[in-house]
Amino acid sequence: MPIKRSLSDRITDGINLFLLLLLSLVMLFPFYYITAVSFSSFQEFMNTDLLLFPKRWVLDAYRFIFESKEFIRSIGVTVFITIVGSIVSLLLTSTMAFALIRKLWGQRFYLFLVLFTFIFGAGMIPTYLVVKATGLIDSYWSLIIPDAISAFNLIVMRQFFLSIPEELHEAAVIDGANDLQIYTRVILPLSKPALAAFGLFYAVGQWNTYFTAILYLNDPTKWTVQVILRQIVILDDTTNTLASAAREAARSAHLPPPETIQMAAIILATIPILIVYPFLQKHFAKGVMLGSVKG
Amino acid sequence: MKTKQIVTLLAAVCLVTGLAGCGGSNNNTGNNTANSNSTQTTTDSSNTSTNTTDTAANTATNNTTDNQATTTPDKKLEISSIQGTWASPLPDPNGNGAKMINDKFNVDLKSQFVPYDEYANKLPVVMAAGDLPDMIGMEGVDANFVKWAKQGAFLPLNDYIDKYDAIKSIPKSVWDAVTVDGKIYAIPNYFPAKYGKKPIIRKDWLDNLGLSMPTTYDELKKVAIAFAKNDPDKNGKNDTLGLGLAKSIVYGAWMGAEWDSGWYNKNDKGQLIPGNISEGFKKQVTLLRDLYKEGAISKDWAVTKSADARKDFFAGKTGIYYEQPYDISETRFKQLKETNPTAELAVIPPFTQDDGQQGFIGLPGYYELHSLNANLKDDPDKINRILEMINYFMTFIPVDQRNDQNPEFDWQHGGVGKGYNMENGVALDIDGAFSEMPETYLGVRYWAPTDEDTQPAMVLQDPFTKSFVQSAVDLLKNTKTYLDPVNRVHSDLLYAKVSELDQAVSEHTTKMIVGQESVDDWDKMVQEYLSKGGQDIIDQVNQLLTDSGIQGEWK
Repeated sequence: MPIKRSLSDRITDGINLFLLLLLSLVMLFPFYYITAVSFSSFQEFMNTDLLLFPKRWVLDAYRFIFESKEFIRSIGVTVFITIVGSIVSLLLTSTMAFALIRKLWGQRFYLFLVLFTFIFGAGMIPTYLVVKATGLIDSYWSLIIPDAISAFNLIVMRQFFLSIPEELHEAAVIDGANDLQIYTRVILPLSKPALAAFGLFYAVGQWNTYFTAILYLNDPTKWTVQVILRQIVILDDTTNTLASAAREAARSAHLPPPETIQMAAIILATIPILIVYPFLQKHFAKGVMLGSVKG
Repeated sequence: MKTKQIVTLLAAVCLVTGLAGCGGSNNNTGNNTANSNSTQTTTDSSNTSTNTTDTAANTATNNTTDNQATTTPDKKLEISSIQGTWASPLPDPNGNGAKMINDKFNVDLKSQFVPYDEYANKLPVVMAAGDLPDMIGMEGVDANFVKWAKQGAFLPLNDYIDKYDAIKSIPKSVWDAVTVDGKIYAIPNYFPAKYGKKPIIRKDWLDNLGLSMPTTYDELKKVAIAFAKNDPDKNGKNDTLGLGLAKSIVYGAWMGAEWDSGWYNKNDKGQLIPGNISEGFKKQVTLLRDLYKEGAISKDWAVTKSADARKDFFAGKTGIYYEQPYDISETRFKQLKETNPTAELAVIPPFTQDDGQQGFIGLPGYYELHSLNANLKDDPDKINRILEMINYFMTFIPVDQRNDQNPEFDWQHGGVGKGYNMENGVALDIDGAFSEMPETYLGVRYWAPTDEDTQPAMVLQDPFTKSFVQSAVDLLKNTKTYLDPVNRVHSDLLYAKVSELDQAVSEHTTKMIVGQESVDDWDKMVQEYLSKGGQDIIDQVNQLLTDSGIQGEWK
């Protein structure tokens, strides 16, 4: 039998629904606007104050982008480091989390080390020195290895592993499983939601790789899509100082591409990672829930 | 208890390693004069094998034959460089242009380009890591440049420059900018002082309304209001603005040096003061306030990006804005002429000032510079090779000779059909062909004997743009330009504090223009500026100017 709902309940629901719809519109509007501009002709964009629905849908902007090898290559680079980086990160995080649930000698000490990096970062220059000393400069691995394990994710994942009943381990041990088998056959299958959630975190992080790419990669052909995107969507922020006057004068020879192309680039750099979300969404929600109270 | 001990221990370890890390990096930049060749080999791990042998070879020959140093390019030298760029896409470090340089100068050029947006973040890291290439490019002189110069990261060039004709021709006003404690630490790139942003006006609008070119602030006010209210474009709609303005008062309404933000005006004590706290600037702010009240500038100007204000101007909605006659793209001008076929543009001649002068403030006269790594001190061969290359690319080729008939120009631009095309007798760079042009790789501009020699109208194709640029050049030819002396000294107080102080002034003046604050509070704002460190800056700058015998000059 459905629960009886009073009038005031319904009104509250109605208001909530309305507000939430409004909120989602506010969030969706920029996406819509960018999409609309990216499909319009530059002429129309220039002559319309607020372009909401292009009279003529054209693919000029996308054609331009796909014709420049640079953007496509950078998408390729980003896809590569996103996939490889997420896998490496998940592998390292989960194996270390697994090791840290065992009551071994020094376990607390290692956990403390992890926590320490969580609180104190090394800073840009020392990290750069390490990357340089390990010969990773100009290698894609410099984007993957230094950030492979996030201390926060590691701790949460360890917590998740701890919630798997001890008895399962014992049963597996009695059946003759070694540590590796416990990890692959017991822990991992039971942790799919957590792996999906953290995989998504890592993937989004890798997808947004920007500054480390500029810092560690000297060869511009290796740059990620966010760096290229930044170059396309140059912020035109003039300040009224004479020092910037020469810069501005010199800069005006290199005009940023038309807005339609900028918008198309934003769309192309965002869509691939957005597509990942729906597929991981259900695991993701479960993953977040599973950490909480269990019945 | 035990954890506490461990924490203390770890904290101590971290502190020590952290400090050691910093110390190490400082040593690298600081001492690299001392142990030149050894650091070179250890730091450049990215391209070790060739580098090690190369450096070894260098030292060997240096020891034996020192006289050979000058001008004999018979030994292949590896030269590395790092520089910022606005170009997009970035030039390919191994492009055809780089290969051509390698062949001509017998070098192995390893250039690295970083977009300027991020260059300011990357360069300090590379510096601190002791990873410095042979040539270091920078956009201009800033606090970092002065700091690194003082720490000995750059090579003093005083003893070398006299050997090179083009480099020697750089005027003293520009050398001053890159001189720290009497030593020249960089070779600046030419940029015309005269051809910065200038106020421009829709001359056709003036004619439509029967108005004449404004020569005073009162006339300017009348013109701007008429532009907004009297339908200057005759389209029957009230859709025009008098003056284009964007947030932070970009570009404002300066019609000469006295009203601009440079160091031109003096206070009661005879000290030069920054423009934005001067009486001249106050006049500008008063005008803008009046225009705002009358609706002659956009109601949203305080949150408008300059790109949008410019867009409005070139869409034909604004009567007065700012453009430069040098290094411009024709696209916008073509667009204006397409949508407004009757459009005519003209530079507003500078107004006569209270002191009788008449002219705009010039740019610093350079843009971008190249420093040499201090490590090169014991490698005169390499220093000379680098300077020879810079000198070569800096040697001026008159504009009318920049075509496929001139072998130097042809080579520098990668050859006709590859780096540039000839159209109507003018060489036009092919879009995106940076990597074909040797010129790209050093990022050095021709040093023009005078600003007029750059003849910016010559290279333009679009008749509308061309005629605007030519008229601007003609006007500026007979107009004086003020060289702001503050560009020629290095005040650490100025570098440290001025942006914060300017920010506060900009907030106050913005409020004054929109009427939230009264212009009568001007003196209060100036007092605040002075008491928060502005007076110290003024004192220091004036002291430096007196010590070095530099003053503002009209050219």
